[in-house]
Amino acid sequence: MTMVEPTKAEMDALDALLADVAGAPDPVPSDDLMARILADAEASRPVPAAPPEAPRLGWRNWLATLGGWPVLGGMAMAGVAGLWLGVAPPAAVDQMVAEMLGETVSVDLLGLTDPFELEG
Amino acid sequence: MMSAQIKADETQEAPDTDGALLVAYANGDATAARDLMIRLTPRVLAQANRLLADQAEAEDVAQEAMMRLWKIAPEWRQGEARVSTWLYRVTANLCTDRLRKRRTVPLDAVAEPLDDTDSVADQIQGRSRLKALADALASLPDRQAQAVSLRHLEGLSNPDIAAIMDISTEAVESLTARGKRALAAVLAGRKAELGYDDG
Repeated sequence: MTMVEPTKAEMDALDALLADVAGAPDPVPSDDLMARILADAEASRPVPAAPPEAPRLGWRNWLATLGGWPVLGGMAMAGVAGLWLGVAPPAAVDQMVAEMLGETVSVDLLGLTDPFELEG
Repeated sequence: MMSAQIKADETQEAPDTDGALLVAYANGDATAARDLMIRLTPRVLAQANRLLADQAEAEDVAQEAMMRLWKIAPEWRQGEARVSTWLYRVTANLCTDRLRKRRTVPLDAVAEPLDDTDSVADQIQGRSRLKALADALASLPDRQAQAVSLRHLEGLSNPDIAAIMDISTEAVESLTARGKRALAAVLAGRKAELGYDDG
């Protein structure tokens, strides 16, 4: 497409027009426009992400891994019971151990007290 | 025109405080949205009004441009682009879309109705200059209209326009020069109407 080259006067007129429009007072956004934009912003606003959980202390993690306080209570009870059985075993326990493991006896496997007759 | 402070904030070197606010909004900060709206809406509206010469249409464009800003907030990566640059581009595109639709309507059909009073000359030389320029811009190819408006109506530098239009500075200079020649040709027959003398 060919275009007739504008004259200097026409370019000057255009520059004057552009300067006029550029220098014209800016329109003030109406309250209605601002309300609409704010409503759009609120409707589109992403839901705030949940704050990251505070890191737990190490021993708390360890306790949680075991199963929490109830499990720890059970372990403590078992420990105390074991200690009591060790210190003061009931007679029934001795008898049961004897039945399961037998009596404690000393056995001389060689049948000799002085196999090399070193004692004279 | 834009205030000196806003203009300074739009330079490529200044920190993009708008970007920080947009990220805060994306994280759910409601006050950031209000701050962004107060800072950006007047400028978007002014840009749209200079291009369209119709405040109702300019307000629609401003609302749409801001809506697009809210929508893109979760994907916004601070430091990759400036909010002001992005918003200039979106507003210019929305306006040229509307200008393009006007091309199908003869210019005379969209001229401002003038009443028969003594102020007719003032009306022509006032509001109608804006309208005449918008009509003439509507007759230009989109890119030329955008380059001319960003350079001569928004007062941006060629590098800033290059960033907004995603083209080289040389391409901006070429588009602006061709756009101005085309505008002058379109407006040549309307000098008297616009109140400019040949001198």
